[in-house]
Amino acid sequence: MDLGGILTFLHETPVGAWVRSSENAFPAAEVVHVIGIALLFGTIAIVDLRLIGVVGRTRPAKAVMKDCLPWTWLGFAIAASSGLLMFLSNAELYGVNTEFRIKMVLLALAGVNMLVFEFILRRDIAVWSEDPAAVPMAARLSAIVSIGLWISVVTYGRWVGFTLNASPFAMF
Amino acid sequence: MHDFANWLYYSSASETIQNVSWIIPATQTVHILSIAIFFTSILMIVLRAMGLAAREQSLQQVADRFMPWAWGAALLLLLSGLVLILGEPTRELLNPAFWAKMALVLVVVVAFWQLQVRLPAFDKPAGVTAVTAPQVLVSVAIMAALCVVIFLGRWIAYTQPF
Repeated sequence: MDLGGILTFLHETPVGAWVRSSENAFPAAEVVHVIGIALLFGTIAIVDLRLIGVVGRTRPAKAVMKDCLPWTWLGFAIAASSGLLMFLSNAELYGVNTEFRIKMVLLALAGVNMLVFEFILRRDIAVWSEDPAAVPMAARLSAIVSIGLWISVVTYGRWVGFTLNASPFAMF
Repeated sequence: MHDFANWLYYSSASETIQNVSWIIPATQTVHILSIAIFFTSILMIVLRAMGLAAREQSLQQVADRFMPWAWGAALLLLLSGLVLILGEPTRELLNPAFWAKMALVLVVVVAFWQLQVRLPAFDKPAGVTAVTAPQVLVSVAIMAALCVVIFLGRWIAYTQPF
């Protein structure tokens, strides 16, 4: 099956058809998506800014991550599931939308950056957790890349809404 | 209000925003990122109040860490919101969802200001995590109010103007 076939298949799933035909499902998914983004971006920014050394320097990096990361994952789960609903409602349009594709690439890069941090850079966190000045340059760079990628993901996400009108009920 | 919205719509500032295609999406992006900063700053304070985060710090310390970010984000929300109103005055000012949002925002801002002023009276020293039922209720109500503000903000696009 080629990409067009896959998109048509996803477009025609019962869930996609339901979101498409419901007057409130799409805007409700958008609201949930924004709440998910708020949790995801806000908590990840707190961790990243601590790693970079901008704020939160009085607390160990490990403690900041322990407080924030469960909420980051919850935010990701909320944003991803609501995003999937919106995507399924018009998969044929989203799938060929340039801004949407760029957003997906940026999301994948953010995922790779997270994996690198989680499995390589975080291994010796016990050494640098307490002292903000001791955070390795690679971990700081990963945090800067993380903030940059997530801001870009949100930006391209908003641009999707202006380059394709997926909801037949939206007035703008 | 109709006259005012129409006057704004035909002002040169509004026409600029309407004619430059990236201004509205860029401003909405700033608005969403500011929502994220505001929402999580308050969340961190609320979590500390409930003994669920930063237990080794006092509630006052956590509030001192996050309240400036919340107010900074609130200022960005106000400024980006004003640009959005200026760019689409009839869509915003003649919209029941917009006015419902503004009323709730006013309540939320006054509530946060009062909470910040009165915080020393119910501060929780470092290590103290005991929480009362009213504190849980207020904490949950604060986060729920923020979710309703987000809901009303998004619903502006789906509500018929007056």
